[in-house]
Amino acid sequence: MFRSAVIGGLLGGILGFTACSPSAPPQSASGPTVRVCWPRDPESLNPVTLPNAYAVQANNLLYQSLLTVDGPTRRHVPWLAAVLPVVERRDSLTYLHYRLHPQAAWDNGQPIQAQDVVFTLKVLNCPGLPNEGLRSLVSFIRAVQVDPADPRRFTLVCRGYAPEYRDNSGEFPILPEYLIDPQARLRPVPLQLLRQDDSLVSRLAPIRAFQEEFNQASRWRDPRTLRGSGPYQLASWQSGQQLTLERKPRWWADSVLPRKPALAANPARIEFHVVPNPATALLALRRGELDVYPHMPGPDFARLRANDSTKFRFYSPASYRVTVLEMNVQHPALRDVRTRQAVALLVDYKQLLRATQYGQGQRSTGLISPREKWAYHDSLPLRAYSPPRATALLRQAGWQQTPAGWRRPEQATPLSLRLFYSAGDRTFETIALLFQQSARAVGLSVTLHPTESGQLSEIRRNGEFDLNLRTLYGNPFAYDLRPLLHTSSIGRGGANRSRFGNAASDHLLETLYTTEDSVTKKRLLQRLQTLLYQQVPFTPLFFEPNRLAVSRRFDQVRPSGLEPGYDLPAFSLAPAQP
Amino acid sequence: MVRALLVRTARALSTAWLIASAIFLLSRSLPGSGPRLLTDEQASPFGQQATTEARYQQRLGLQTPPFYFRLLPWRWHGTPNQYHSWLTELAQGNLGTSFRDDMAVTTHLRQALRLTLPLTVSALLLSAGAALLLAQWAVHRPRWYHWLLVAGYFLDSLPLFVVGMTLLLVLANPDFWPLFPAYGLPAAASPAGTLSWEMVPYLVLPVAALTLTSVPALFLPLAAALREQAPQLYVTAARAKGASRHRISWHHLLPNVMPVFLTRLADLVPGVVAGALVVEVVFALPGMGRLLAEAVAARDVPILVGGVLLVACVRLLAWLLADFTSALVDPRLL
Amino acid sequence: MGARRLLLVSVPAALLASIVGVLLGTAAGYWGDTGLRLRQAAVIALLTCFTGLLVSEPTAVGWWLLTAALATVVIYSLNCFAATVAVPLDWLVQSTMAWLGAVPRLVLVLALTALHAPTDWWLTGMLALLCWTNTARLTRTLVQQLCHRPYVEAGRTAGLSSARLLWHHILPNAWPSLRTSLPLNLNTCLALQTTLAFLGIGLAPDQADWGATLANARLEPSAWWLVVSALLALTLTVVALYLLLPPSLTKLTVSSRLTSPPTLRHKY
Repeated sequence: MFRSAVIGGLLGGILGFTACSPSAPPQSASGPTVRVCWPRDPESLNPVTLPNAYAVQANNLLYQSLLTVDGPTRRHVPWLAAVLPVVERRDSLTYLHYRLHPQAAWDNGQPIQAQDVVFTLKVLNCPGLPNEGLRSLVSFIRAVQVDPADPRRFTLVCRGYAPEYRDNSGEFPILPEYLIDPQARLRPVPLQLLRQDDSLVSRLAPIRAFQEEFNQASRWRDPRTLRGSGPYQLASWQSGQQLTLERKPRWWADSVLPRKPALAANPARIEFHVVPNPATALLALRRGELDVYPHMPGPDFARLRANDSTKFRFYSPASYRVTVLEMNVQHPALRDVRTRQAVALLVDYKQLLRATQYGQGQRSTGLISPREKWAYHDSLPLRAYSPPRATALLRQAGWQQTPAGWRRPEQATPLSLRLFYSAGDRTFETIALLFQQSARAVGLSVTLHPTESGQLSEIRRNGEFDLNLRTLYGNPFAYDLRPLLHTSSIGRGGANRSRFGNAASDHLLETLYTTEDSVTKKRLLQRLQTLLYQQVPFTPLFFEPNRLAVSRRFDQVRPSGLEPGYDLPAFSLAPAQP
Repeated sequence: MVRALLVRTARALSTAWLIASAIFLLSRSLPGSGPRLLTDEQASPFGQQATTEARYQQRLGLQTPPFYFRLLPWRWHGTPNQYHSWLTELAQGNLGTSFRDDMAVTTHLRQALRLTLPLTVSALLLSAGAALLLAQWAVHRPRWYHWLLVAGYFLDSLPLFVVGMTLLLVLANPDFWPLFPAYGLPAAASPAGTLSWEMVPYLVLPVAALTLTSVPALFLPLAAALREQAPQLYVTAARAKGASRHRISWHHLLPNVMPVFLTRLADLVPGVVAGALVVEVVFALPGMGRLLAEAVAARDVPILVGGVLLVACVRLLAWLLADFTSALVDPRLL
Repeated sequence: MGARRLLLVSVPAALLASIVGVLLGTAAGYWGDTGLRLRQAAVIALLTCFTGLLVSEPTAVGWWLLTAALATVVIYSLNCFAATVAVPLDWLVQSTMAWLGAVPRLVLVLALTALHAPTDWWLTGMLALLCWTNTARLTRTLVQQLCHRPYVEAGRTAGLSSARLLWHHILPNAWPSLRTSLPLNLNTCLALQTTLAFLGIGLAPDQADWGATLANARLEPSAWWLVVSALLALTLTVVALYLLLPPSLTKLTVSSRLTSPPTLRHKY
């Protein structure tokens, strides 16, 4: 009797708790709450660290940079700057003339001035701070000249010239000096001194004091110090669980008219929920506990779109992420270009697209997205799955088909290729299995090596693979492919993992980088695409779509192929449907 | 007895230190062991990658050799080395800071434990209680015992994520019974906040998943040991003296199988602090399991070593405790 | 599907883990920290050779091992090295178990794969290495408990050898408790294998395997029937293993059990 009373009491208690657990988000008068699903924690909100795409996304709501990217139009637009900078080339230097927005102000009411840009560049170049990534990004900026007449005007002096300088110069977050360095310790230290790679610099007393203050981890979790000129402020951050941002009651751009999309900030509250397991995230989305589910797995997306289209809107704009099958050009078996071409012909591209992308995704002849019509070389044919041609090419490359496999006369063992990919990735595994099957059909043996990602990057870096599946992240702005394809980017120097390249291709890449004239640039890009198509250091499999499901409560999603794939500040409540 | 306890505790602590040192050196010698700033997907501006990586390594203090010397063949490095600075910090009670966000390792561990402990402790207590009751109930019912045995083996063969996902898809699914929240914790549960009753509905499913999967490992050996003791003379004697079945079970049989039960229980205790990675991933809970797994994936050695040290200490202490409790029941065992 | 690999990898690994666990657990429980003694000179020689091995070039490893073996043989054949020293066997076994238990699997597995490229044999060995500790702990406790039973002490006074005591008197009495737990090792091995498969180690994705099937269920919850069939097959295997294990090791069990008074600490 007593026992059953206890059990009944427990059950009643649990159900009672459940009944009072919230199911709908509170809606304030000023704007809606948007709840976004993230697969992982941003790890650090320090504006100079930005270790991953999620940290960048959160940072763009807290801080502003000079320019920003407008997703749907795929263009850089002014953000803290009043207009796009004026570019001037003089001698061997490039000058970028900027003017800050006249109304731009920090939260304490002080206007944002050129002095803050100087301070930011000092912080980004200061040794001993976790700023290595951004430091290398802004390393082309040599000095800042502040206009003595107008504190909002300044000029960035850049080394050499490249057309990308204009866009890159506006991509770092501008930091408030009054919050980060209230004692103005960095003010007397010249930027030139900080840019030197000298260990003595970090021993200077003001710099050491600044480092100590800046590197306190707690200040980058404190809403009072983690605060920039962006429309949102930190409300709470429970690591690995939830990050909540709140709309500032007064933001400088509130009074700016007319309203541009870059300066919109409609949601009153943005919650990022960390849900690592895709099945759980899907369940939470269907229960209405989440509103936005970006980068959905293909099967979940297809199923939800078929069953639940009344509650959600679905978007799948093509992204700039391309999955490639990379080949180690320096591997003895793959040194002959015909062998590589044969391998590329053994991929059943159409089946692969069906099996992994569920009919979405876009094929391409090279690294450049077919969406970028001006740069894409559309007269090259898409490679087709063709075992007979692959066999013929293998024969031409000196391989002989034997019952044991393909073999060169001088070699004792038949050709066997090792395919590496990141373990635990379903898409890669499917691709690998399909490729293995079609290779087996012509008698070529392929062994699969799913590998832990840390180990895999070491293997790639040292060139210890034959084939490897990899995702490359591109963008529509820059065509500096030297980190990917230049010979000095092989190994520790960059990201050229296929070890492709020679003097001629290096020269082509360098010319491409410095060319501004779009006609010449197009010609060079097409030459590069043809070269890569013939040499096959990798064969592009598909451009992935950005699969996104958003609750129908929201309007103005502004989906795009660029990260993060949607425009959170623009979200507004959809008018109630009849 | 007290002296033996002290000696064993001291030995357990030095073993924990040995374990942490071993893992420190092991994690430094893994392939791709160092943390990398740039993954394969990110590239630094052209020609800057090597400098950028070098600056990163230098900031983390990874440019010095890992240990005082190297072996195979012998080479003396001396100080400064990474192990020396870790040990110096440890002597001052400092476990270092995370490579990823510069937060103190102790803060990370404390935050994760605040969530993990309620989860795992309640699961442990529930499964211990359930195993005891079930085993006592089954010992006098041979037919049921065999069915429970099969059920135990079945439950034990269920992977944790299958149990977790099944519970989730049945009890938190809008298509079936959406009784419990699907994931996470109430929004009010901040890392600095105290435990509140609001957490309870969020923890029901994870605790149930953990309990279901850990009952068989406790129940099976316990029931077997009880059944082995049941035909013994002292039980017959007790029964002859008119002791009730209840009394025989709890007062005569149980103390004799306590060592077996405690040993098995002690094996589950480290899981209390090590967390339950699978359950934490399925229910989106930020606990120790995820903290350690993410630290390994990111090669965040300070967090990894700190976590291992904690788990090793708890494991050794749990064993110590099990040995001593067994010795209290049967003093000859010490 | 997958049964072949189960028989080739997991079952041998579970058996190996059980054997290693029972052996080490018995040794640790029986001899404790003081019961096993080695000749002092032999210990010194072994430690010297080990240190020498570590500080010299990798090519000299063979010579050091040979020296160690020869020195041990010589020391044990001469009577002048009679002084002995206790081997802290229990401590060694417990520390190893604690180490294995505390180190995250991923770290250990990565370190082991760095030493040797994974093959079936290697995988079996690794699974056994990671699974034996639970069995060893249980065996250790049981043996410790049984060691103090009067019939074992009587046997010891009667001059029975350790091997005879362990094999004929202690293990048969520990067996009923062990019998139910040993099949669980198969589950542990399989669970580990799924973890490893998730890390991409051990199981090639092109080979059908129950472990891999279960691991894939995490990624595709809609294919639940695959999981259920794999689980049922697994349970049947485990139950079959349990039934295959003999209910008692020897006929001796019965007699010794009946003559063994239990620990009588209870008030009647």
